[in-house]
Amino acid sequence: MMSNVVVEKTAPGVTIKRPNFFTKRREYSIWGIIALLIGSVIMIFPFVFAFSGSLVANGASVYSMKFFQEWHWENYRIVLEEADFLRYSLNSFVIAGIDIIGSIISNTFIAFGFARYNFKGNNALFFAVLCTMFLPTTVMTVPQFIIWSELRCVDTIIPLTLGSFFGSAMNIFLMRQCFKSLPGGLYEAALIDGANPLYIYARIYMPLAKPMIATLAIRTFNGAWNNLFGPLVYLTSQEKRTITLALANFNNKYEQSGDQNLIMAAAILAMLPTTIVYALCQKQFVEGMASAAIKG
Amino acid sequence: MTKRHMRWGWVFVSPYFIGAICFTLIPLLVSVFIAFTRYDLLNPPKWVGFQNFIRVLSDIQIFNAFRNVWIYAILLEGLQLPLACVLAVLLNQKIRGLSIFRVIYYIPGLTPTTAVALIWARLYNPNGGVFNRILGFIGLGPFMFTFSPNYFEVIVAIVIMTLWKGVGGATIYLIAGLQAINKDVIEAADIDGAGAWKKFTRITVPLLTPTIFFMLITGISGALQVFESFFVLAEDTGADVGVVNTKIYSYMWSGTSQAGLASALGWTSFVIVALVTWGQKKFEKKWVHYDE
Repeated sequence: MMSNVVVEKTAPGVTIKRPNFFTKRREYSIWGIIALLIGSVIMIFPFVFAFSGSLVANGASVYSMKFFQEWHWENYRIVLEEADFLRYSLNSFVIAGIDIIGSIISNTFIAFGFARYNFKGNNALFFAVLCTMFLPTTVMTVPQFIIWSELRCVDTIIPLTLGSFFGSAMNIFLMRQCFKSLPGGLYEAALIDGANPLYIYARIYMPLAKPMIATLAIRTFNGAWNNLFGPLVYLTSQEKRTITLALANFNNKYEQSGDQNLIMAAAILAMLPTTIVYALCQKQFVEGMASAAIKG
Repeated sequence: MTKRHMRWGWVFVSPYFIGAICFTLIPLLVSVFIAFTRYDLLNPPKWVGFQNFIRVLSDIQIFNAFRNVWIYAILLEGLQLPLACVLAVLLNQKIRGLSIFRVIYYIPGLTPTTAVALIWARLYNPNGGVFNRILGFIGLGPFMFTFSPNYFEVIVAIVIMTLWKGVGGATIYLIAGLQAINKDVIEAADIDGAGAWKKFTRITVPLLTPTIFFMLITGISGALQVFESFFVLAEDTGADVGVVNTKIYSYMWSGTSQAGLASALGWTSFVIVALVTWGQKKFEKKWVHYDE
């Protein structure tokens, strides 16, 4: 860089401040790194607190500032078995799994139509799709609940999963960007070879869109796993609860009692899957989001 | 390709519109109708005219819910956007191993709000919570945080937790925006001797305004729909800390259903959000810099 050139000859009387460790010009800044480090401590601290608190003995204070003095791993066994969190996690996994399947099939299918075909009304319809993003979910949940209860579907997972088979605005948007970025010549070539559009979608474009489909799957998993409002409204019987719903109830039950360690263990368990998925698929996740942001 | 062939597009997009009719359009119509009735889900709905809307506009608790959610949304966006801009610049430096920082900052945003709220309730606890101990060292506090009888203190505490959770994720879009900035502009400023702060405020931020504008619009309308953090943290504190969605929840799903009131409240809130979004769009030209 220009500014790293040390100027040797100067006019008399002019003192040049030699750059020291902190003021030297670099591609990065030391102060920036220090700020990031301090920020990281703040970001990690609540996790450390919760993890340490989840390992203290029953009745012991989770508020101690001395972390990791005890290692009562059996707290996790108690939460999973006696408090039934194993079942609740399975319930969450089932709902998330169905959502992922529905979301992949529907969003890619719909987005392919918007991306590859210049039919009449394409732009107007796509605009209508984007507009539904601004409808508040809670407002929609009130009448949806009324309809589902008329159909006797409350306390089943149908209201929580069926919607994913019809696509959602943000995901259609992501997949449309992805299909648009793939070469259109492939389509015409396959068509000349006699392939029909459904085959072209399923066998040519879907494999090419794999990275974005991974992003879609991760987004859907996180959304389903973290959702509290839907299960809270629709799932009434205890054995059908999802992990977030069980966690909220668990808290109410033990708020004032000595079982704070169990609440912390349950909270850590609820955080694990999304964190692990992110750690494994970091690249897909961030790149998918970022490419949508640029092209959007 | 022929026009006829292009009709395949209709086949592909049709599932969305089947879904939209079932899950959006019909519920919307039902909701408009229900808003003008008294309906407890057991007995048939009874037409009451504008009574629900009059209640929405005159009930002090509902007024407080609107006040709270707006304080929350403005505080959150007002703090999150500047913080995310600075963080995005820091995370966009070219250093090996910087991606570990990105992981650290993103992870809270991916965890369930319910779990985060339970942990922060312990951090905030006025009797022995960690935050009061830390603040005590530098002679501040003690604070009641989310356990406070003062609604403003509760909201600020929830905003701080949400910032912790959301600021990393907010940088994803900004980093993408930063990477799209033409390097020549920054280099020209370097040659002219601009300092880091000047480059940040005079070049980086103005070039990021389209991204910031997008984040502001989606951020405000998202924040106005907040539910989980208030549902878990702001229960039974004595302060009137309901937000619009927790009110809708309690009218609709706790005790006897008041579906009409819940719908009327939902629609009022939606109209306000739509007006504000439209207003933001109006002022867009005043500060958003488009590179065309």
